Amino acid sequence: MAEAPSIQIAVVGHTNAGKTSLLRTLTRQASFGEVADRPGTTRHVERIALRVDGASPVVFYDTPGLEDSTALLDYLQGLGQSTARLERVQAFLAGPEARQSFEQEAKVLRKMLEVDAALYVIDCREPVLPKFRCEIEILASCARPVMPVLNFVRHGASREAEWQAVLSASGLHAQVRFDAVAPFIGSEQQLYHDLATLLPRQREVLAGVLYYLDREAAERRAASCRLMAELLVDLAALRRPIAPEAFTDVTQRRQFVADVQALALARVRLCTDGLLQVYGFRREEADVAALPWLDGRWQDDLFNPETLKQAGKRLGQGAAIGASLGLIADIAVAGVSLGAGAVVGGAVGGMVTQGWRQFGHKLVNKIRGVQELTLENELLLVVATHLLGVQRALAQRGHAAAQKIVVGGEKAVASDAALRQLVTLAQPARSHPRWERRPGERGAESSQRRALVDTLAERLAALADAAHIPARP
Amino acid sequence: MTSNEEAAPGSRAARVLMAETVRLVESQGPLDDAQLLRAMAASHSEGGRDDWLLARAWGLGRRLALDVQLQRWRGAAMAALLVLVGVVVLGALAAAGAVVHSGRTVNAVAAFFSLLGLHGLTLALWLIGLVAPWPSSGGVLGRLWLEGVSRVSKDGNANAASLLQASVALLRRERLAPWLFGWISHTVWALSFVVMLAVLWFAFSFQAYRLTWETTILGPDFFVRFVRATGWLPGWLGFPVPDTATLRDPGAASADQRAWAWWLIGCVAAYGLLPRTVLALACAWRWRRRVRALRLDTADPYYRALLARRDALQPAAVVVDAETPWQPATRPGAIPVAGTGAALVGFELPPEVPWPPLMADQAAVWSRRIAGTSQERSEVLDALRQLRPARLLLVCHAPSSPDRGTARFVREALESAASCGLLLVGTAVAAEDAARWSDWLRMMDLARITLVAAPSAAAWLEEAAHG
Repeated sequence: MAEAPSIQIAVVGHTNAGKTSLLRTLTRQASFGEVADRPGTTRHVERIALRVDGASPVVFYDTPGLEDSTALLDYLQGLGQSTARLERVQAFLAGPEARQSFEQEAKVLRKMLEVDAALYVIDCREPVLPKFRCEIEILASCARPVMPVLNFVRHGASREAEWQAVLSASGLHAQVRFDAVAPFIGSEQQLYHDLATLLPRQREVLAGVLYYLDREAAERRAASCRLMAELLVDLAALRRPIAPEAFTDVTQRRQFVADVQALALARVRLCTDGLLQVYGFRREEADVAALPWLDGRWQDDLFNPETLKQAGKRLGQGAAIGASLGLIADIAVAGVSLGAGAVVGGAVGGMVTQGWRQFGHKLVNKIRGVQELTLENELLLVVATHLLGVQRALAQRGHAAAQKIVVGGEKAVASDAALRQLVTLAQPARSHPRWERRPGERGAESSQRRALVDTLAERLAALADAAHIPARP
Repeated sequence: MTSNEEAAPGSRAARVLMAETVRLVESQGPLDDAQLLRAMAASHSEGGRDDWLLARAWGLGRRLALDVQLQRWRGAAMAALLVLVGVVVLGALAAAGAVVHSGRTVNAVAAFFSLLGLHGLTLALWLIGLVAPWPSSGGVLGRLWLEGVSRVSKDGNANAASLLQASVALLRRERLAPWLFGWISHTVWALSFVVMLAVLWFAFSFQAYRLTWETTILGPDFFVRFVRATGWLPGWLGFPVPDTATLRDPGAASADQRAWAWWLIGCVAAYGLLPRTVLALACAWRWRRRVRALRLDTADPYYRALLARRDALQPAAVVVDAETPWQPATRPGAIPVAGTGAALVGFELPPEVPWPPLMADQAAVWSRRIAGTSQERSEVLDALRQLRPARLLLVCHAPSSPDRGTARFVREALESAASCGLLLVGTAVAAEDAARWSDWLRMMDLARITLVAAPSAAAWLEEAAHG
């Protein structure tokens, strides 16, 4: 693939249609060019390569917007009715107006004549005005394969059907729906796939790109699922002993509970950072901070009694008995009698009645007197739901985003049954406090823990797959 | 064909090991790789993803002197192997010596067990470890060797510990341990059997022994059957096996001592040397194949994060056709003489926008709505030139982006109107839409046009119509 000459692609379109945004997403370069909500942000032609395994099979050219297409088409038609359209374009580029009133358009057309194909970016929210028809006509004059890219198709004001009809009428049948801000899963692949139909001779190179993109997406998903599985195991295994005297003292106990909550929250945050890194986002990036999942609000929400109560319902365990602190005293150490356990559960907030079965076998082994606090299953469910949401948002997010996007509700991430199964799968970690790996821990990992993480990661990957929206409805 | 050849700096195994070690070091916080990555980018030596990750790790490892440590390891590994060989050969010498130096009578069946017993036991353990799921399989000798390496190369370097830890983790994860350790232990055992055979052959060649069996509770038939059974494989390989008469009465003068001695040598060769040699070769083959197939787990979060950083570090975009700003010359004093009447022009409005947009006095206002074809534009401009309105109100779609085509039309329309306003319409006119349009007016030198808010638009127009 490295030896093959790069495929040259011009990205053209009306001003402010999202050409630079598209390129940011396609090349995963959040810093490429300048994106702003004003016309004529890009005024030069800029080259950026798609890097695939150290090679650049595709080179994109970001061009200025076509702004004055109506007048330009008039001018082109005035250059002589008898000559062919392509010759008129060449005559225009050689003439004086190419350096004056149509300087910007000349840049686009000059590039059009040099490239293998063009991506014509369309803002679907715009009505199909005569100026756009002129654009299509001018682009067609350049005798290069043009593939329309319908941007903003998810927007409420999208006029996708109208545009599709007009484009098809102009002979542009291969169209790609592509939302540069929140691309559909697989729409990037669809784009290269359709490009291959326009450029049959480059099919092999584009197949290489597709293979690379698929592998990258799969690996990113696998990595993110592994991170989430690790966190779930850590949280399920987490237990902290509390001295009996500290446990009976209300202030000390409250402090202790707050410390464990802070610890759990720090782990969740670390995992979120890991997800951001896997998907190539930086937390400082202002646009990422706008993600509904990452704005910090839900983190305050993590130990919210109401959230936990909701999670309890989703787990099918009925309302929690205690104060829902996200923490429970391990029934096994709470005392031999269930009565003592119930008291502790009521005091610390927990699920004694649901919990005793799974911890029953440990009753015998524990030293009496020392209390140990572990995290509730409700909390595991909330964390899993949130992180799946983050993962999905990141997987579907382009690197062009300027505004906040909301992709579905929290509940849509996975079915209750699937989440319940996930939490159930994580339970073995509860009886292995040593499976909790602290950040930076380097000791050898037990193979049982590894196996559990792998199982959980597989389940999570299945959920992540199920959440995907197909590129074409 | 030694393990050290595979571990030579720059070899695949060494590079993967280095990457795993650096990963372990970085689990406690990232290393500063900015300079290294710049240098790598400058030398264009990045290549594919695996190569890039390996090159980065090798560069960082060099800075941590891990490559020196790896070199030292090679020496230490060799030394530990030699010590191990020495110990096992001495053991073999002792075992064989115990057999042939216990006087002129050799208890042949007891000798069989003392020469092959320990070997049989460790071999069985290795085979069980190979199929058993627990991960630490790989032979006692193999683990002893690794322990020896770490002891010999210990110098208080924390990174050396990482190197050891990473190699153990890598051996376990890739299931390399059984093959590497198997290779080492089988080779050492095979060597020891060579020594044993040499001692036995020398002793039986130049000294006269009387081989026999002894028992307190067993009958002679047991020994006949035992020797027949154990002698089958050596017999098949060409070693003589003592006949029944010799076996029944090994003390008799007619007993075939030569066949007895060959049986013992044959058993050591067939049950000791042969399996160990075959297994050593098989392990070496498997090890080399597995090492060659070593890949980084690029679906691992750590490597994914690095690859994402690599993506972000791509060569910057290049401007190939720079901006050459050109603005049409503005004609000074082009404000036309104030005419009369008012005009309302809707420009490039989407079809669902109602027209006319305001409840102006319809009769007094000349109004037209155009989608923006070239013909429509010139018609409206001609009409405006005729009309010379005192006030012209342009109506545009707020969410759309103004472009130079719009500017061209507006500029020409301005030549006929004394005063011009811009009204933005749409389902909901957002503040940023208004800001975008007013910015554009300023940028395009169209500051003469005032942005008129929807509620006051009718009044603004009527002022001209009636005033």
